[in-house]
This record gives sequence, structure tokens and C-alpha cells, in this order.
Amino acid sequence: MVDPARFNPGLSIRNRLLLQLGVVAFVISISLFLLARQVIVQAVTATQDGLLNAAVQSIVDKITVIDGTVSLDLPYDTFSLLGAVGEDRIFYRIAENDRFLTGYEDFPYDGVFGDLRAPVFGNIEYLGETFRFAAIENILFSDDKPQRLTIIIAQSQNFQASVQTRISNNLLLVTLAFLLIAILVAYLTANLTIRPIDRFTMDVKQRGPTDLRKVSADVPIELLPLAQSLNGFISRFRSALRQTETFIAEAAHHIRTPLSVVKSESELALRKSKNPENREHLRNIIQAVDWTNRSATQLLDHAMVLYRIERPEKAKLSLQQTAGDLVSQFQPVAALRDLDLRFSSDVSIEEQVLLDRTLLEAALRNLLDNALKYAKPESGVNVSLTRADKRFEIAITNWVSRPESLNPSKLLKKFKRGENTENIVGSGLGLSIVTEAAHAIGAEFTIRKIKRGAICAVLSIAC
Amino acid sequence: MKVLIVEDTAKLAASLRSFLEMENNDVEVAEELSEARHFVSITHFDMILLDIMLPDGDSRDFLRSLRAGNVNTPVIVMTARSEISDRVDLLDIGADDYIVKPFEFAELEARCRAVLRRHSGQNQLALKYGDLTLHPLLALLETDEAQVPLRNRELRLLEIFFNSPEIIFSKEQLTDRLFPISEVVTENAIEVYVGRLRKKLINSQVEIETIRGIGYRLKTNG
Repeated sequence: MVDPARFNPGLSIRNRLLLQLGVVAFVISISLFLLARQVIVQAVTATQDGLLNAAVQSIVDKITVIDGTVSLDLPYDTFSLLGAVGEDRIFYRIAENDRFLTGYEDFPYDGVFGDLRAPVFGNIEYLGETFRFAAIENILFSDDKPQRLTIIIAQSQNFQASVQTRISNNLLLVTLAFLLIAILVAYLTANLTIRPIDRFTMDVKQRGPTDLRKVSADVPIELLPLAQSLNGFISRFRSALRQTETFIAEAAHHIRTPLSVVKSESELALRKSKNPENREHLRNIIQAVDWTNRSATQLLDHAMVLYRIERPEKAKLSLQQTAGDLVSQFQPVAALRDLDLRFSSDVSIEEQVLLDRTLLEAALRNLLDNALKYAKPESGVNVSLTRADKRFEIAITNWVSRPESLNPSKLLKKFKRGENTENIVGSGLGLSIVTEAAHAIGAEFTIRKIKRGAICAVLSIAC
Repeated sequence: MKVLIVEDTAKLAASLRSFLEMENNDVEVAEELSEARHFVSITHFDMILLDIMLPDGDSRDFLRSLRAGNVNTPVIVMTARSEISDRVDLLDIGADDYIVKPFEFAELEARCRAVLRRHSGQNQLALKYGDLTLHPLLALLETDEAQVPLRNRELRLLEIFFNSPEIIFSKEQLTDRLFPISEVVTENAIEVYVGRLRKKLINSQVEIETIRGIGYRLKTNG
């Protein structure tokens, strides 16, 4: 399995897309809010300007010039109307030829004035408050003499401000709703965009460890190079595994066949030889052959276990039958050392587990080989298969010389051997093969010392 | 015992032949399947030692054809592959046992004995000498009074003596045949086993005599 820690994953594509779409949605929302708010302000101001314009018009309508005298009847109903809405304050100033006539004389306006068709509107600060005003000048003729009448009327902005605030608040709610909807849509869009990648990932991820078929999921064109690269890799990996398997079988044949010639020839020579010196040499040759064979076998076993870890072939098998067959296979080897090899089982042959037979056999074969090799002559080796709770336990017990010198945890390390191995051929790889094979089939492997110099190796397999 | 060795590695076949002939067996060697088929068609064998891959084919087909033709000769397959699943496959198609190369002659002997024991059933081979009967396949020594069980090495030692009574065997010869060569044995190991056998031969007309400085031999008291 790939170690995710080896990658340095940045922000996921989904989150990156979500973030980008979210930012866009946020910017659009803010812009819309500001734009709409501006329109509202303009609309409210235009409304207020319209009212002020109407008020100015009504003042102008009430001005009459009789006999050269300007007469004004102030339209209080219009002022009342302006002041009533939002309790706004109204100020006005009317002057004739720059001579103050009525209103608020100190009203501070000395700007330009528009005419009746186009009054001048603006904002002005007065008494610590901002006022909206409309200013016009009107030329009246009295006795053919022009009379310049200036009228300015101003209104505080309480009502407009409250209208603006209310509409802005509503607008803010609408904007937030829009933002939320936009984020939701962004999320859905990100998911939809990422879905082909997810499908592709799941297609690869859901495969069993032995599934080396090409990936055939529909992928978007952008992912096609990745899918093609992956399929190329799978193809090369499958080919490499096949070559490994063939290599292991070929290697076994090419190593063991010449070794068997050397061994049998040496053994024959030993039987025929009477010269003690030659006999010693021949024994040394045979022991070297055994050593070479054992090392080669364990290295090949190790290679096979590593190969199978990558490509296990699970099948239902009976532990009772597998362990029993293995014990039968080792009986003649045990007999040669006068060892009593016994097998007991309280598990029926019908009870099966799903695992890779080769890995299980590699573990058991190495355990049995070790147990027989290190057992005291004429002692026993017991193999038992039991069921406890939801696990099967295969325990292999032997009685060894100098058990006190053994440290079970050290024995599991690669190329490490116990202290009691003098004159016994071995590579120190056997128990590490067992450990790796056990790990690969999901079994627990433990070694413990038990009473009276016995060592018990236990392979615990889930039912 | 008549043995057919089917093995394409000529030197290995020659070594096996020499060993089996030293053990008083009658041996034929076939380096190809066609030769093996020929031998099987003209004579009966008590045991076939069969290599798996041969120049002219796969021995598994040969084995299948033997069993299909009701030839029940015990077959031990010799192979360089050590997986038990291979063994199971071979047993399924009719092999009696499976031995992984390289092997010791002693292991081959032990496997042959085990296979023959299964095949013989009630008609077990018995070796007689003096008032003793040795049942190698049952690991039993029978005297007029009792049946004495033997441990593996005791049996093999006695078998060597029974096959060549009166012949003197040196300690080295006995050590070679009794212990795996890769096993380091002490000088008095043979004495231990001879001592044990002597205890089992008490009250019999047969004894193991020590020839000082030379070795041991089996002989009758009378």
C-alpha cells in the first residue's frame, strides 16, 4: 500500500475549486450589494429631489407681484407634508434681488441656483446635520422691471436614511441568501467536476490486491494520460511478477539439481571411503551443500513470500488438512532424527479459512523445519490445531537444548540465530519468513518458552 | 526390490543407482519418458523414482497414464520445487510421496520405507535371522516370546545387520547410514544404539558382537 505520508498533498482539487468558486461568488455578491445599494440611494435621493422640486414649484406658484410688490403666500401644507414624513426638519430661504424676504436668513447657501425646469439640488451641512436642498431663481417682471427671486428649500434626511437602511438591510439578506446559494452551487459544481476523478479513484481503490486488470473506467479526456500511465504501470508490474514467479521456479531447479548431484556423489564417496581424512573432507562438502541448499531454499522462500504478499491467491482451505499434509511430509525427516512428530486437531476438516495457501505453507514449513532441526534427539515435536474464540491456533512445540539461552524476540530478526545452534546448518532467515508470511495472511505469530525446556511457536489465524 | 529411476540428470541418476544397488536393490534407469514407458511395459517394478520435468515431456502425464492403466507401483516424485501445494497436486494425480532435491539417501530410504509400508498393508515384508523376525515396515522385532517395538534408528541399525548378517560393519559405515551427514554425532553414538539393541536381544539366540578395533556384526549364539 502506498504510504500517504510520502506524498505532500496540497489543497484538494475539490476544495481548490470550491474556494475559487466561493471567492467569485463572494465578490459578485458584494459587488451586486454595493451596486444595488447605490441604485437605491440614487432612487431615494431622486424621490427626495422630486419632493423638494414640487415644494419649490408650489412656493413659486404662491408668489405674486402686484404693483411692484412681491407677495408670497407660503404653502404650509407642502411644508407639513415634507416634515411629516419621517419627522424631517424643513428650512427655506426666499430672497428678492438678494434681499432676504422670509425663511431662515442664516441658511448658509451661496451657490448657484437653477431655474424652474432644472433646480439645483445638493447636500449641505447645517446645524450639525446634512440637508438636501433644492435651489432655484425665478425672474418676475414688475412694471417691466425684472425682479430676481431666489428660493432655497432644504429637508433633513431622516426619512431617506431610514428608507435606505431598511432597503439596505433587506438587500443584505438577499445578498447573503444569494451567497449561500452560490456556495451551494459551487459545492455541487465542484463535486460534479471531481466525480470522474472519484470514479476513477474508486475503480483503482476498490480492487483486490491481486486484481491487476487494466483500469477501464470512463475518464475525462484530461485524465486519459494518467489512466494510460497507470495501465502501463499495471502491465509492467504484472509482467514483472510473472517473471519473478518463473524466475523463482527456474532458480529452484537450477540451484537444487546440481546440488543434488554434488550431494549424492559425495554421499556415495563417503560410504565407499575408508580414509578418515577423506571422509572428513567429504562430510564437510556435504555439510556445505546442505548449507547452500538451505540458504538457497530460504532465500527462494523469502522471495516467494514477498512475491505472494504483492499478489496473494486466496482460496478456501482446511487448516486441518493443510497442517496434516505438512506433518505427513515431514514424518520421514523426523524419523531420521528419531523424533516423534505428532499432530492433533480439534478442528474438523470441513472448517475452512480463506487465505493464500502458499504463504500459509511457507510459514508452517519453516516452523516445522526449525522445530525438527533444533529439537533434542529422540524428543518429540507436537503440532496442534485448536480453535479458541474466533481464531484458529496452530501451535508447534519442541524441546530444545539450552532453552535458557534463547531470546524469542531476537529469533524473529532476519539472519539472527539462537545461541544453541552450534553444528546446526541454518541461515537465520526461517523465522523472519514465518513472520512475513504470517503478517501477509493476517495471522499473529508468537514464540514463547514453556515449561521443561520446551519452545512453543503459535500461528493464530482469524476464523 | 526392483526400482526404476526416471531422471534426466545422468550423474544424479548414476548416483542413485549406485546407492540403491549398494542396498541390494535391482535398478533400471530411464533418462526419458519413452524409455520409462518401455520399462514399465515389459517388467514390474516395486518402486518408481520419478523426476518431474524430462526432455520429452511432463512426468505428471506419465504418472496419470500409469494410474489410468491400473499400474499401482509406488511412485516417489523427485523435484526441485518445495511447495506443499505442488505435493498435493502430485498426490492427487497418483504419486505416493514427494522428495525435494537435494536429499539425503537416508531420507529417500525413509520415504521408500513409508510408502512401501502403506502399500504392503497386511503383507508386510519380514526379515528373519536366527530366532528373530524383523518387520521393518512395522518397526517391530519379534522373538519367540514377544514383539518389541523399535525406535527409528534402532530399526535402521538392525535392518543393516539383518540384511548382511555375519558381515562386519565399521563404526563409520554405521554412522553414515544411521545419521544425517549434516548432523554432528559423537564417536560413541553408535555404541549407544548398539547397547540399546543388545538389551532388546537378551533371551534371543542372536547377538551383536563387537570386533575390537574393527566394528560390529550380527551373529547367532549357537
